Amino acid sequence: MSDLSFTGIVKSFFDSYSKTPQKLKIIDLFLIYTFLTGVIVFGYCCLVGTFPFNSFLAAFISCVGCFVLAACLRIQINPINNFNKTISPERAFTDFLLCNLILHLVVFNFLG
Amino acid sequence: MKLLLLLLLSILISINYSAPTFTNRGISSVYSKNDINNLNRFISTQKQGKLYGTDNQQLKDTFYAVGALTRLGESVSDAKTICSTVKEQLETNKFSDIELLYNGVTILSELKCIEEISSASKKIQETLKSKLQNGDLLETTQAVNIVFTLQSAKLVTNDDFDLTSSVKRIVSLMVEDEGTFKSTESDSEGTLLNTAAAYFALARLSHRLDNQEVDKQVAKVVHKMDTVIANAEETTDTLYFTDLQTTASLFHSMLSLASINEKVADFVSAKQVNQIAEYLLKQKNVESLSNAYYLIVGLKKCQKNSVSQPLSLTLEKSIFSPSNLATVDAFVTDIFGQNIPATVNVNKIVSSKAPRSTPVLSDKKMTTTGNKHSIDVSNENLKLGLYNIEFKVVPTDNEDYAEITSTQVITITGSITVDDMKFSFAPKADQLGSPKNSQDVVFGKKLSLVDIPANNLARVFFRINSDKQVFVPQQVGIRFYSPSREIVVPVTHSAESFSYTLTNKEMGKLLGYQSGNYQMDLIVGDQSITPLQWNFGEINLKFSQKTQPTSRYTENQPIVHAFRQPEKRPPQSVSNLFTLLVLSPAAIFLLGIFVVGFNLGKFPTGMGFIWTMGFIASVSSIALLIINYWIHSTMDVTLKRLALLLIPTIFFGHRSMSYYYNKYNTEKEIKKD
Repeated sequence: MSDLSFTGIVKSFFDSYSKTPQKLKIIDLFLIYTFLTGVIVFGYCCLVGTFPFNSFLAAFISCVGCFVLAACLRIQINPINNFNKTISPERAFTDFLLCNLILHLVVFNFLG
Repeated sequence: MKLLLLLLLSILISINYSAPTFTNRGISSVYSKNDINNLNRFISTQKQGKLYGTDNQQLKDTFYAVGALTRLGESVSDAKTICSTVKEQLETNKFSDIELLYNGVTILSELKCIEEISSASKKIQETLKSKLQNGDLLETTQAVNIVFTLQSAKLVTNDDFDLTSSVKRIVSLMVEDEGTFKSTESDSEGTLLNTAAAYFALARLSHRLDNQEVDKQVAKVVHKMDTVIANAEETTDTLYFTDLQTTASLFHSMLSLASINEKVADFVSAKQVNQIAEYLLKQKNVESLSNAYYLIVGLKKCQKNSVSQPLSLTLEKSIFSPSNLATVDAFVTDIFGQNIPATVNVNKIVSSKAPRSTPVLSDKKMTTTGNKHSIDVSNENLKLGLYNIEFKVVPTDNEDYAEITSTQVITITGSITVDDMKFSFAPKADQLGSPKNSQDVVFGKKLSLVDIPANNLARVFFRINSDKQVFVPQQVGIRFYSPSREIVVPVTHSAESFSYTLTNKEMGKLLGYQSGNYQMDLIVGDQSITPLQWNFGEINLKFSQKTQPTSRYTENQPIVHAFRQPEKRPPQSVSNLFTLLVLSPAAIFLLGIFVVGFNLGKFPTGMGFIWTMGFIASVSSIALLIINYWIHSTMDVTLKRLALLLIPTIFFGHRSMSYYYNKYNTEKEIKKD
């Protein structure tokens, strides 16, 4: 019987997560990093002010974009999703880098 | 109804009888000896070599120069050389060009050396006959003139030419509707210059031939003269046709016709002769020999003609001082300044300022001594000013000259004095007359500074006299001025005195409420006196109102540009805190990597190491490029550099990814085995 208490759920989560491949864990760390950065940038906008608004947009778009692209990379290289047959992890990483390049070209234009 | 009709009829009759009639005012100036000398000098400057004028038309210019000089009775210098040169030129041309022949024959005739071409009379006759039969209008008229010139010199006779048919030919070239003459039958329109040439030739033909048929033809031409005169341009004083040449030649030929046909006088009036004379006198400063010739031709015709010979009345002197004013002397002359015997009456002498006022003198006959007509005005008590004198001139020879009524202006000028000047100030207007409040100002001296209280009125009172008689100048004003303000106020005249009252309110408005000391100048101006400006005092004015700026325009505030206000910035500490906060997830990420663990054992070796390091270096370079763009670079430079960096990035990326793929496949095969 499974333990439905909060600690039981957390323990079960970490047990399951410990089996996750190391590559995915690093990607998850990156996701947490971009998510937290985005939250702090948004918090600054709400608490201190929008000026300079273009810089805020650049930072926030960069965070959200990186998060989405990293999530896509995670989906593509997760063995459970069976993308291995069509897309190799190397190809997925190259796509990630290329998309980041295009994303940041857009971000440049908001930097000011 | 009958009454109304009678009334209308009487009004119409009165209008008819009160229609303005022409008063012959004479001419305003004359062509004097001085003008003749100027013209003589001008003509002499035009002589180039043996003849006058420019190279290509020397004969024509000589014709103009000799024509003008002989008409004025002036001698032509070096006449013999001119005669021989003209003869040479005609011989060179073989007497075939009618215009050259006309100019040449006329010059020789005027210089009285026409016999020089007597040997060539046959050749000349051939040319003349040909032109009289077939020439255009100008050629025919020139041929007619040459015939008469040669006839006068007895080089040809009337019988040599059929001049009656020439009359018919000339008259046939008249444009029926307009009365002008065209050059040939084929032309559609006539010109005024052609008309002048035709009139003159017809006048000479009619005079010489004395033939009823010719007179009939001339009458036909004269009948249309009014339509020709209708081409004239008219101003108040002048009348002219296009230019000096056309005016003079047409006027000359019309009056030539008048001497053989009395009906011309119905079309050319004395008024028109006067107007043309005025026009010619205005053209006296000539700039070409042709204009000099036509000017003299016109003026000579004014001097002697059968219609009307203009007269001029000129004053010997028109400016007088009251002390030497005794007689006003006048001369009656023709257009060349020749004295004409006449009796002269002074109709009236009236002040120019009030021409309709009672005349100072009226209807007095002038005494005549020789050519001078005088009137004694010493007892008329004429004050300073301008006076119009209307003269009535009745010429002794009333057949050649008409009566004229001429108005001349005389000026009586002299010095003035300002007398009885008083400067007074008081709180009320009725107190200004009190001797207590007044100060006398002696003419030529200056009053010491007068302090005028703010609520007081001030008045300047004075009389202007000339030779102890009241004189009312055209302009009298007082100038108030300080270094920053200046106004001039007109002074009113009443009962032989002048006064100006200053009120604080009015002066304030005029001086822009600028309190302080003001100099006072009296300014008197008139045509008949030397202007007077006298600094007669200084006053201090006080105004309670705010001083107005000196500029007539309102003062504008400096322009302030409203720039966008900078946004509110957070304190430095808040910015620093958030910088740390934004960087903190990076620290979490790095720490997390250490927790999760990383395996550098799989880092490639050999060529794979180079490809991977090259790829990482390329990606890092792109990151640095982005930072560089953010700090100071431009999009244009960044994109160019990015394009360059993409080459190694793609190369190393491709090589490193291929390496990993191959390695991955190899490991997979090994596992299978």
